[in-house]
Amino acid sequence: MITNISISNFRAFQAAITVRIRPITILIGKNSAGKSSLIKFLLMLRQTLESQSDQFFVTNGKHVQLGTWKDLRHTNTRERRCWDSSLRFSIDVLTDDLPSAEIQAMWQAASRKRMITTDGNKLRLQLEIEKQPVKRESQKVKFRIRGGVHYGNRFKYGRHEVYGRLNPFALFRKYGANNLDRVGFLRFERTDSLNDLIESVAAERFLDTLRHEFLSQRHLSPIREESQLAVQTGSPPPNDVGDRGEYAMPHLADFFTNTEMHDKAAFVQKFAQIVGGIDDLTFKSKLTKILTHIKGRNVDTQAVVSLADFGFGVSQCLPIFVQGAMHQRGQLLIVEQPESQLHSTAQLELGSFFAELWKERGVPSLVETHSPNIILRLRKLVKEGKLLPDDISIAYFTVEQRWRNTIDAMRDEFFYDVASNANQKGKGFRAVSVKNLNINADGSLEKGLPMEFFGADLIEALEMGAVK
Amino acid sequence: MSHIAIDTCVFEHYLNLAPEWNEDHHIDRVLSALQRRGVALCVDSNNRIASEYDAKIKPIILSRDETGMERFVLSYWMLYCPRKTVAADEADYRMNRIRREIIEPEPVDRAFVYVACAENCKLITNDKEHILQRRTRLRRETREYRGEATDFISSRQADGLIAHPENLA
Repeated sequence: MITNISISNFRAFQAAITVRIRPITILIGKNSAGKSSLIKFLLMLRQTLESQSDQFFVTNGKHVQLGTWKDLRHTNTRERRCWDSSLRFSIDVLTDDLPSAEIQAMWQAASRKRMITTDGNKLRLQLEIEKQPVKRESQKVKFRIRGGVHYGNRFKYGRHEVYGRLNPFALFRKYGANNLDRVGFLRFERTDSLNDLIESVAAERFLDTLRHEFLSQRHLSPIREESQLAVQTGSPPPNDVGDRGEYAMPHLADFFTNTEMHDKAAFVQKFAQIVGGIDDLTFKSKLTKILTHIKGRNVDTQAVVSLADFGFGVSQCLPIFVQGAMHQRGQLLIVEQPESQLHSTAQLELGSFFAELWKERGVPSLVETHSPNIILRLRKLVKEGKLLPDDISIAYFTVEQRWRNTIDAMRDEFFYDVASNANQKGKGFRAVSVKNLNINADGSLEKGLPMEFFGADLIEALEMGAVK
Repeated sequence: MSHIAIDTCVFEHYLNLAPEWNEDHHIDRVLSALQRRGVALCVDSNNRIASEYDAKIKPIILSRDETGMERFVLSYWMLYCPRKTVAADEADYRMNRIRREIIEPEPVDRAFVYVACAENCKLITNDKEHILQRRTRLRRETREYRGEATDFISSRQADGLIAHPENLA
């Protein structure tokens, strides 16, 4: 599971920001504060890994269209000569999906010694592996993927490093630098050396674990597709409702018609009822099961109508429930504005949905929202003891005064989590920053979120009362 | 529907500006009990009370972080709760009697006492200097211009009445 993401000089982020990722991570902030930029960064990583392209990052693809490589650069660093002309990133991943102890030992042996030696006209392969390698499969290992890619005109120059540490041992380390045309995100240059070839075989197993973290993510954009009177079932992409929820209904039909998927159907039905007010979903196939009519019963009026005749909010939330039902343990679900078109009570219930997704199904979620009600429900669940304080992180995106002293200070902030603001000298600048807030065990929120952020209505009411 | 008048300082103390006033969270209990009863908040037609709410509470909101439930409680009282606007004549006999006791230039304090008398309801205030210490004299002065239920009580006294909320509002 991803636990931390740091980025600088990428779209909205001029200075480095760090977002702590927990099982339920809520991104809040004003419009254009950078919440979506973080999600787009993750989508860019996913489509890079899905692509066969030799680019380090695939900026335009199936999941996100970000323009050219240089368009990613923050405007302030683009318009004038700036020392920071690279996109820098650092991602921490905590995982227990490790290669077997034998493969780990093989990788260590291959990375430490030259296994291929020349003996006259013969090549000699000598591989030494410890007889009883340390069993580490069940332990969690923290990996850090970090790098910097230059926004230059002619060359894509940069560096890229992955290392995993199982204290006190360095478990894995892979480094690629200079010309990034031969190196991509989680893809390293292979030389003609036989030694490197053997090493890379073992390294691929480590890298596959990390790639899976990004490839298994699913994303739902802020605007999902509207329900239709009849849906074409066919063969939707496995375990994916699509970024706009376009494949949600075929999957839903599958849940209700396939007896092996009744638990998923029950999960969706439960939240469709609580959040959307729909009960008793039924599917009627026509034209040799290609077209399916979906009907549901309105909980309040008991009227049985087509799904398309329910409110727009229903079509916006159903894909989230379907994707949640399909998600496997540990796969990150990214949802932008799940509260879209939903009234405030239903927004509260969405908080319970994300909580249940984690507690019952082990699915972490990254939620970008403008809804205080989702947070309020999560606070209540923490106070009731149904969620742990460590299960939730609230990332508040805001614009603050940042200080830029030296490259070293910036680097310290980026790589070693030492705030460069500690030495507030020199000319400051205003830039996006992120505060990672906790929910305390008593349900209260850690200091850092101004009351006026969600309290604009309160201020408006006070001002209105004072008008004579 | 029953009514209540609540001095701005009670909300300020609720927001823990002076922790000693609300360290036991009794104001939380009082506001919560009143909210459950759906009590209407009394304000004056001259907007003195609403203006003071704006002038004193807004800066607190702008300067504070959201941690507990304060925003939700304040939102209820300032935005959602029923309000009773009391027609206040600053030159009538009732106001003149109040002015005899609160002689200082404290028109908002006078307005709080005025609306409590006019609506025959309790005024919850922690203003010792201008209201609570003069409670007996204020009661005497306004005897002809208030009902039997009118009283000027502190938030702690209000907390004591929660067990019998019909005595509170």
